[in-house]
Amino acid sequence: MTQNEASRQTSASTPFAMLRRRDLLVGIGAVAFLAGSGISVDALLAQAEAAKPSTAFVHASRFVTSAALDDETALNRAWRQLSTLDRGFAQAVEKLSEAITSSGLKGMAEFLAAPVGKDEALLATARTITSAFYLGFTGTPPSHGHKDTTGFVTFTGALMWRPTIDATVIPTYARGGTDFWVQPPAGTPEPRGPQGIAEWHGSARSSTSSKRA
Amino acid sequence: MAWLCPFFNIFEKGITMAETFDADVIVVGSGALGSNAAYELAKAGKSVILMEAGLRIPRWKIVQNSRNSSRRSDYNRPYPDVEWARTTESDEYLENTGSFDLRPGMLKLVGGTTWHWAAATWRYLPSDMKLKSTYGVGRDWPISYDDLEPWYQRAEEALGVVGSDEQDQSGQGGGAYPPRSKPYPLPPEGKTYMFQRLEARLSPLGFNFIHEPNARVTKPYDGRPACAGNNNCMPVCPIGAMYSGGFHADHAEAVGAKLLTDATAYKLEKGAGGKIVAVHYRTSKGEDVRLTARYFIVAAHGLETPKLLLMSDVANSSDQVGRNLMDHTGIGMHFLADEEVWGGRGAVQQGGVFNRRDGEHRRDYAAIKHAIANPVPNPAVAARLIDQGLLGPELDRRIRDEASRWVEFSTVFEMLPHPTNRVQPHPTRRDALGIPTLTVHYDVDDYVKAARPHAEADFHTFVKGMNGQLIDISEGWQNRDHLMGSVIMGADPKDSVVDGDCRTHDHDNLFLATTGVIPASGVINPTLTGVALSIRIADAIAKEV
Amino acid sequence: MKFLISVTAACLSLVVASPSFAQDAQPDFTDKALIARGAAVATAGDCAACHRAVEPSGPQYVGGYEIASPLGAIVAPNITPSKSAGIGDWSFADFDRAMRKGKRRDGANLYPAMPYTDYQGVSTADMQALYAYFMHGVKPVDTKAPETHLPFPFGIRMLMTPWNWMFRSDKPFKATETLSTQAQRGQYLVETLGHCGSCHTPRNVLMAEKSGEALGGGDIGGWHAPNITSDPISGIGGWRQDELVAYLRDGRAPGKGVAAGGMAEAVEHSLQHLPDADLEAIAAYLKASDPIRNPDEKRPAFAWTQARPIKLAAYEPGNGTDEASYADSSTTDGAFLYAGACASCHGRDGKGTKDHFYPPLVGSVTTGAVNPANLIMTILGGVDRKSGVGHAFMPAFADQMSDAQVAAVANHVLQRFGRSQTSVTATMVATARAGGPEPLLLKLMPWLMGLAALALAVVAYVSIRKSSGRKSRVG
Repeated sequence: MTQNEASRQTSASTPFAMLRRRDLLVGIGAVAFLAGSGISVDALLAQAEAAKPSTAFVHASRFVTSAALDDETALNRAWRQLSTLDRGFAQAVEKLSEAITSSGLKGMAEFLAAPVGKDEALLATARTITSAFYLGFTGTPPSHGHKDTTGFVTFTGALMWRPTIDATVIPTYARGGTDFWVQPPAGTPEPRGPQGIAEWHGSARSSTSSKRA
Repeated sequence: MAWLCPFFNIFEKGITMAETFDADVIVVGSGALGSNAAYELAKAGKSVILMEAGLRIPRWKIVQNSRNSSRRSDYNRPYPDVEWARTTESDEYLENTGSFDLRPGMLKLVGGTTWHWAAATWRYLPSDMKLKSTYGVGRDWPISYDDLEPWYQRAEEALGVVGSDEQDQSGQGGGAYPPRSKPYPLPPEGKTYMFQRLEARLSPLGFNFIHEPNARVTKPYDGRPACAGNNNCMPVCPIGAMYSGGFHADHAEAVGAKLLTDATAYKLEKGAGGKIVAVHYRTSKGEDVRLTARYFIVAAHGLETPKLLLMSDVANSSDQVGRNLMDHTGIGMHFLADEEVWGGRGAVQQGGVFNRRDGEHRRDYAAIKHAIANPVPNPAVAARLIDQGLLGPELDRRIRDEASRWVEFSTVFEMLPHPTNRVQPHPTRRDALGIPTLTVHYDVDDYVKAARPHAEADFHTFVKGMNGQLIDISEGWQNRDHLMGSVIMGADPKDSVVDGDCRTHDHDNLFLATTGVIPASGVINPTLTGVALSIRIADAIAKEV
Repeated sequence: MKFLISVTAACLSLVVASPSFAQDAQPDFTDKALIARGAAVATAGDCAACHRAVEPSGPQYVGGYEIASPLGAIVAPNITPSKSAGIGDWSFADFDRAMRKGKRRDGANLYPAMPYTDYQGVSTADMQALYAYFMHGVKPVDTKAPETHLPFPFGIRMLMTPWNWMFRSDKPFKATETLSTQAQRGQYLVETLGHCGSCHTPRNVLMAEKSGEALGGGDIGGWHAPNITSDPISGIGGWRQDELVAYLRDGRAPGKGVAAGGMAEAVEHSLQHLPDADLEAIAAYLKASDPIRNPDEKRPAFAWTQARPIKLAAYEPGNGTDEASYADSSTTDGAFLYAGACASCHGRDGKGTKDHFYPPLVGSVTTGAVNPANLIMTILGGVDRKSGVGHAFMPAFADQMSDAQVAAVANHVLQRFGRSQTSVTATMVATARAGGPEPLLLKLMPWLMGLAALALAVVAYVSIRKSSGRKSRVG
């Protein structure tokens, strides 16, 4: 059994989410022992760990997005893809997480306002994380074609929907019955200037106001 | 003597006793156009085979493909692009040699590309169809609006079109136009709040806001539920409120048509007397099959239809097959209004500004249609803000603020037919089935280029009228996936491929059901016209077969 | 007094064969008020539900519509006053006999798809109004509906004679005396015109309503018309009066459920048009009816109100990498199917939309029932129901999913949003597709045909004896 086969079997037979660090260490150690040759356990460990989000990634992601991010699968997917796209990502995340911890700041707003929040390298990592969880994918989508470095993180769980969830829809999902869209969302300020009309016929210059709801 | 009767019948029809057919009519392509023709013919009691290069996929699967994609903005991505039925998703599907990268979204599956459209179902104007005689440019249709009107009505009933019976769709601010023999099958959907706000503030500046007739039903219709604004028309309507050709592929089957999937037509076989006698198709396993019929309808998309004809050396005595290719090449614009308009509620589009759809200016520059796009703006807004470096609570605040004020215009221009804009089978490249891929040469013409400054001037007026902040006006030109002209219709067999009935001049049992027949593009989405022409084809064939 | 009228009515109906007598008691059938009342009676009786044209847009009461029965399609005849194609030649006596005894004017038996065992109890006044309406309020249409041809032996209408002896009663309607006046009115509507029992009462082996289990729940065409007795667990005892009225009028009661299948039709064509007082009466009677309990049920069907959440990842596994996977629709993963086919409207959480445009799947009698028939049928055939609160419509999924897929998505719904102990198999879905389980009657047919022949022979023997006896006396 080669190293590669061993690691593939480890990851294939157990879902990533179920793996704990200790299990991995024991398992990989055993494989290395069985293989009986000078295997670099560090390299194996790094490979296997790449499949499972680092504590720093989970910590930094939750801090940066101010979201619970309790969808393990989405976290795993984001981690796997971001660390594949950028070999330095894991290290950058460690740095961000450490900076957050050592700053003792409570939230992202405070972090951005503090001197540590001016560190361009830390901010770049924060943007990468933000992009993955807000947009729900990693990488840069091509307009067409099969050459594709993008990766799916989540659709419904994408954080970009969060700020407007009371007003619009997550596409594909219903909000209400036909024509709910004639009214503005609740709380929309009364517009100044000419009033709109809901009917298709007639003139837009009519004084009929659209109803509020 | 009764036993002799069959002989006389056969004799009268001028065919030999030995001749049998696999079907009365074979339709190549199960999109909206082919499926409607197949349905009408099967309903009329004809035996029909409906061929489809791709597979049949249930809606729920496509909806899931759409949600689970890392490329939500690529409308082709939720659909398979298998090597034996490539679509424009693949680079190798077509090579561009002109100045414009023509790459229309198109699909291969039962139901065709109407799986992802926004279901705009306009009628042409009488003047659109007499462009040359009215404005001295382009070509005239060989048939008039009045000739086509009854089939427009039937197409609207087939698709469940919703529309306003009171508006001047030419955008000139007059009474109901173009003329209709009957009201729209269904009433229009409610006007979105965003549309109300834009109309309220911009129409006083002289802009005529027009509802877009569309095939998203507003009441349950033909087994389809009413649109509830799930805002995913492209890449797929998640609930089937929006029409797609698949509905009529199903209907065609229900009345007896035989549907063949995984059947890529690669040859039309010519016989005696200028007849087409067979179509040859290949399956993904490489099997070749020959099917015979009395009549053939090729409804295989605006690029694939001319390719099949050229590969078969059919219908091309005019040398116009594949030429005169037109799209409604377009541009786009985004801005932030000064008030909350809340785009993204309702369907992804519902009308626009139509002042330049018609008028004397068409002597000098292209007709223009400004459509207001209405997708939930969060993906575009969030990506832009993250690019700008926004993070944390401020990012959320700005997403909400900008999403509430985001306005997108999608504008199209009327192209003219030029023989140099053309599609051909690729001279060297072959797909997995060994069939030539496509090569396209497309240049945007001066007629369109001359119109662009007028469109951009309108953009600035819109932004100013909404006291807004311009985000961007697209550079270059954009695909609009409306393929026309490639098997152009005309009265003269010397400069056109089909006649006013969509019958090829060269073969009286070969009809083409594609928007590729359209000789004058106007600015409106051509699918409804294509379906109307297809039903008209079915009527013509039903009388003869 | 009421009793007396009923008795008189019963006597009348017994002697309708004597035309002169009947005509003496008859009102002016052209009276406008009477015709208008008759229209209301026809609505309450839901005559239009069956006696409709094949095309939904066709003329009223022209018939031709095929009523799917387990024994074969029964074609509803034309009941417009056309003399050539309808019932234009029928006297009140003919009409009354058809309505109460299931006899055509020519003497042939009707099939009990026509609920004459229920209409038997319709008051004389209502029957006269109904006749007036059909003679003078309905437009005659000269289109004859096709004859019904049931497969042998059910095609023999004579068979209905012994059936009628067994299951038809001449007893007039009699309200339960202990009920309130309102509930008595409800009882009249439920037991006679409304013919609720024709679906909601289980049927015996000979397809007659089981007399001891009135409104205890019946199976019809793959659907299960639920127990609507007053039992708080198995019936509607846990529904508030106003919820029952809302359900009957609108076809939906938030927190309880929505009407589909035959019930949607009853709401659309009949119940929503009844006066509120009648709906209140029906609800009052149902709430006062004799309770029937299914011992398997420990909780009312609507009371499964807690969704059991599932991880988002089950709904969003991410797309495959190879192109063929985009076309592969073979999955039987219930969560995936639910996400693709159901969640767009009913939501990932099964709660529907806040405005009730799309109903919740939690707290619904369809997903909380012991019997999953209605869930299966709804997935297969969808919902199509017009009422005052709008046109509720769910598309059919029969052509988009295999039996195993329907079962998988139904089980997902049951486990996440409904009664998780209820489960669905692909075989159950296949049966539902075929229009429901085959009645025992069909399964037993080889034996029953023997029995029927015997019964006929006995009948023939007895009647010959009787008639010859009479003859001899006359002679």
